[in-house]
Amino acid sequence: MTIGALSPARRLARMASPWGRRLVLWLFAVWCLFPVYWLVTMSLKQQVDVIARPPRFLFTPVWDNYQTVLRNGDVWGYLANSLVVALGSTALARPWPWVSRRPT
Amino acid sequence: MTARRRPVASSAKRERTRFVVLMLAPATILLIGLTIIPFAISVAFSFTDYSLTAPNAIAFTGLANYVRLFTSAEFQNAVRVTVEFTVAAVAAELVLGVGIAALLHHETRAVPALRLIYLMPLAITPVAAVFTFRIMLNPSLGVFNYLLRLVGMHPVDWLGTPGMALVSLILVDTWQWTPFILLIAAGGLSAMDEEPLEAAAMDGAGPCRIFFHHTLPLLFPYLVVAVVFRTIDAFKTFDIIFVLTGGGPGIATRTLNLLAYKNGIEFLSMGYAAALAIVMLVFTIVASQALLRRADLFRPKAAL
Repeated sequence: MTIGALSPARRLARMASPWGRRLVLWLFAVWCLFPVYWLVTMSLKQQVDVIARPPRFLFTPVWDNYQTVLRNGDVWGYLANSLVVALGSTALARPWPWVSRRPT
Repeated sequence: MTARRRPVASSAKRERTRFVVLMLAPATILLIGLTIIPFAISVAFSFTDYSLTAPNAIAFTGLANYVRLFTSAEFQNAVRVTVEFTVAAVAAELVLGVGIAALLHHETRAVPALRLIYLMPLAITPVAAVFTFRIMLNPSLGVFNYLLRLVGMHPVDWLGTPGMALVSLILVDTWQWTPFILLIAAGGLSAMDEEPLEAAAMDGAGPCRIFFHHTLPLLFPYLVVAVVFRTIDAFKTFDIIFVLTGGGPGIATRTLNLLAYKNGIEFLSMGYAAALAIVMLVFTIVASQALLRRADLFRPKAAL
């Protein structure tokens, strides 16, 4: 927000200094990581913490969600499906060595 | 025929031909089975009134599906939404990706860590990430509005109004795919010959001038590839839109791909959906060809 207020030339001049550049790079890192962070914390929250208003940054983490997922055996079947699709499509799409070998 | 005239060479030649055919067979069979036959079937369907509600009564209807498509308001709306989404998302990703790549190129500290973090949006399961965004964008209990209120700004109804819903989609797409452009741009930068840039610096050009007049033109070939990939991909985005807005509110974010899904999978009119898919394919081919052919028009002028 503060950077947007500067003129383009000054903005670039500021980025040229290592600390301005570092700030921008780490801000972008926070932006990339924040949804991942939120996803992980949600997985450790109880329902009441997930829908809390205002959103809770501090809460008592619980493993209940993971236990529910792992105890309900379905997840292993889905995992197997993903594995079959991933390996199968990779096997079909990889450049097969005997296709590219030139006849002698 | 040649074999009969030149019996000496025949055996070796036949052997060679057989070898080539044998080697090409797996790829050809895959191509025909997985691409060409399904494509031919969907072209055929697009000229019929094939519907899963009456799968045994297929009648040839000629161009009826296409006429209905091009005259419908929902198609025009879908084209507009798709183009807006694609252009805005790819433009945002390009500017952000190239900018961050250029900054990262000069960075010396913690580069491996930054690189790892930047790849997270590409590595994570899209549906899980987009679902997280949906919760974060919730107007009353989402963390985005909480942070906006914290800095004294008005909360935003992210997914509730047509305009903001599209902006939110572009935001999420930018989050997910900027690292892709960043990756290609960073690769281009590290493969780049630094000598012209150093020469420009010696001649007294500032960092701003060097970037726009030297780095960017040299990076251009890489960016064309990245933009073509991203444009084709953004054009047929499904997961982000399906999970985040489902095409809503109303039909405000219903792109061509979602329109095809609605007609084919929900309304079961396969013929109409097939016509839509063919039109999308033609759009993609024309747009990507035009982009590749005309890429030079967008090339920044090098001042070497």
